[in-house]
Amino acid sequence: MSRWSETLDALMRERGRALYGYAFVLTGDAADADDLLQDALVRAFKRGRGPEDVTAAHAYVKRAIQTAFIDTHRRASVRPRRDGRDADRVLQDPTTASATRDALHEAVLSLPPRERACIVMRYFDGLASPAIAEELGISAGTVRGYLTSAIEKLRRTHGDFGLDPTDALEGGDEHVVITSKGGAR
Amino acid sequence: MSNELMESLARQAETGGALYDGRGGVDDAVVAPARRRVRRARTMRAAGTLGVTALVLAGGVAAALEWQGQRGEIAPAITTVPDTLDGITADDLRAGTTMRTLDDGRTGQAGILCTMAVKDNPYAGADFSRADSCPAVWVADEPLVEVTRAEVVVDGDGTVHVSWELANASGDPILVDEGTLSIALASDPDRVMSGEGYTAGDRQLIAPSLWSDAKNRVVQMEGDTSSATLAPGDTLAGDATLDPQMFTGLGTDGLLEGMSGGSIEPTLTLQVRIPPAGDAGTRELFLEASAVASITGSMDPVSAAFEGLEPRVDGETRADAQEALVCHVGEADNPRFQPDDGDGIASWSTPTCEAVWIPGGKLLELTDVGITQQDKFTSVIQWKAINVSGRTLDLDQASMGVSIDLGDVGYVMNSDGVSVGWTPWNGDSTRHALLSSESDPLSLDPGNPIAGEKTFERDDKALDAHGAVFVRVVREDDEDGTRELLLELPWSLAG
Repeated sequence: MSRWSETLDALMRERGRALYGYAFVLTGDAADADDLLQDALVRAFKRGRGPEDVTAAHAYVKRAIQTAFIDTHRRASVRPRRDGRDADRVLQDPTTASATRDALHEAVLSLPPRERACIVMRYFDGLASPAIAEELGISAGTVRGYLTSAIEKLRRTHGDFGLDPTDALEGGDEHVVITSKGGAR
Repeated sequence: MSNELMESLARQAETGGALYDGRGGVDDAVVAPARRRVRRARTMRAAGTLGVTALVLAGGVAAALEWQGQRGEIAPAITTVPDTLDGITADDLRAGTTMRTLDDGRTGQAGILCTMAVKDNPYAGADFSRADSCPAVWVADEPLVEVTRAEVVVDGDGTVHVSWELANASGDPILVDEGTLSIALASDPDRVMSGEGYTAGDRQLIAPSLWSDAKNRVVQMEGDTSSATLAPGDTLAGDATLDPQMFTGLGTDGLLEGMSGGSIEPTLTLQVRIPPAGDAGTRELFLEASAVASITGSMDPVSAAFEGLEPRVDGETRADAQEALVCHVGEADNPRFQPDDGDGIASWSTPTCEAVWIPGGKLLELTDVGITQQDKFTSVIQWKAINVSGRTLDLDQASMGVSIDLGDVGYVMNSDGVSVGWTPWNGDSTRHALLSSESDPLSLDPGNPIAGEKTFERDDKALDAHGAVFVRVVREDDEDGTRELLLELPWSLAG
C-alpha cells in the first residue's frame, strides 16, 4: 500500500470522527458532510507525497474542509438557505437551553458560506480574524467584514443572546493550534 | 464570550460525531470514493509525467488536469451475457503473442502487453491506477473482438457523447474485464505521437494517436475490475460523455472543431483487459479493437466575435494585434450560467482557454499595475487600462480576473478572481484564465479608462512577478455561454 493511502487510513481511523463532525458543523446535513469530507480528502492527498503523518494530514484536511466548503458553495447541496426570518419566529421557546442552541445553529446554517465558515472558525476553532484569514487565504479585513455581517444577522434572527461583536472581531487565538483532544484542532 | 454559540457549534459537532459512530464510520460513503478520486488524480499526473519524459512532450498534462478536476464521465459497460467466468484467459493468449509495430502491415487481433512488478500492478492490489506505454503485440491472426458500434454525437455546446459496442468475433468464449475497459479517440491513429501528448480522463483518452513510438502504445489501467465471459457473438456496450474542456488538453488540437465540421472522423479504440486464469501478476494483456466513429451533430455557430482570430503562443508579442483568449467551457461549466446561490458573492472558475490574437491593433492597454502589501497577510494588486482601439468596447467589468505567474512553484491559490502561483500556461497555446459568475456590462468609449483591484494572500514572490489581467468581452450573443472571449493584458513587475 502506498504511503499516502496508509496515512489516509490512519487519519480516518484516528481523526475521522472529529473531521466528520467538523464537516457536519459547517453543512448541517449528513449527505453534504459526506461530500465535503470526501472533497477535502481528495484535495489533501491528490498531489505529491501527501501529508507526512496523521497530525499534518489532520491539519491539511481540516483546512481543505474550510476552503472546499467555500469553493463548492455553488452546489445546490450546500447552498445556504436564505435568511428571511424574524427573531421571535426562529426562537420559539427561549426558555429551553437546548432549543436555543438548536435554533442558534439553524441560524448559523442560514448564513452564506463564507460568513458561516468564519463564524465556525471563530467560535468552534477559537481562531482570531488574522488566523482565519491566513487559513482561508483572504484578508483579515475581509474576515472581519464577514464576521460583522454574520453577527448582525444572527442577532437579527436570533435576538440578543450575549454575542459580543467586539469579542467576535478581536478575540480568539492568533495561531492555529493542533491539540489531541479527540482529534479536534 | 458567546458561550451559547460555542456550545451550539460544539453540540452540532458532537451530533455529527454520533452520526459517524452510528454509521460505523464513513468508509463506503466518503473514504472509498475519495481514494478512487485520489488515485485518478495521481494517474492523471502520472500520465502528464509520462508525457513530459518518456514521450518527450511539451507542456504538462498534470497541471492541466489538476485545474480541471473531473472532466467527463463514462457509464458502466452493459453486457448481454451472463456473468459466468469461463473463457479464454490472458494465460491462454500470452504465449502466442508476437511483436507488433506501426508499419508491419499485418492484420489480426491487436493487443498490448505490459510488464510490471506485482507491487505496481493495479489489478494485483497496488493502490494506484496508471496510464503507461507498453509493447504492442499481435495476439492472434484473426480478430477476437471487434467494434460493432462507434458513434459520436456532438452537442451544440461542444459536449461529446460516445457510444460503442464490442463483440466477440471469435468462436470461443473470452474472459474480459469489463470494469476497466477504456476508450480512446484518436484523430490520426496511424502515426507516432510527435510531441503533442494526450489528455486522459476516467477511462477516457484523447490523442492524435496511441502510438508512443513505433513499438509501444499508450494504455490506461484504471477502474474497478469486473470480469465477465463474452460468448461468441455476444457484445459489451457502453457510452461516455466528454465535456468541451477535455478538448482543450494536450493532443486534442482541432479535434472537436474537426468532428463538428465534418473534417475529422476520429478512430475509436476500445482497450479491454483480459484477466489471467489466476491472480494478477507481473504481466497484463489488453486487447484492442478500433473503428472509425460515425459523427452526428455539430456545435452551434459561433459569434462574429470569434471569427478572424489568429493562434498565439506563450511569449509571442505583436504590436498589431490584441492578446486574447477563447474559452470553450460549455454552459454547464460557465459560472455565468450556474444558478445564483443568492449570497451576493461572485464565484470564479479557472477554465483552460486557447491563446489567440485579435488582429487589427491593441484594444486595451494597461497603463498602470502595482502590488502593495497591505499587512502581513494580504496584498492588493491594482491596475488601470485605457481603451486604445479608437472605438467603443463592450466589456464586462464584473469579470476582470488577475493571474499572477510565480513560475514552477508547485502551488496555486485561487480566490475571488485572483490566481497566484504555478504558471497558468499548460502548453504553448493554452492557458488558464478566470471567469466570474457575475456580469456587469460596460461600454467603454475610446480613450476612457477601466480599472480594478484584487486582494490576495500575501506572497513576496509576487512583487517581481509577471502576469495578466483578463477582461471578458460582452458579445451580441452574450446569452450563449458556450464560449467566452477574454482580452488578456500582460504585465510584468520584474526589473
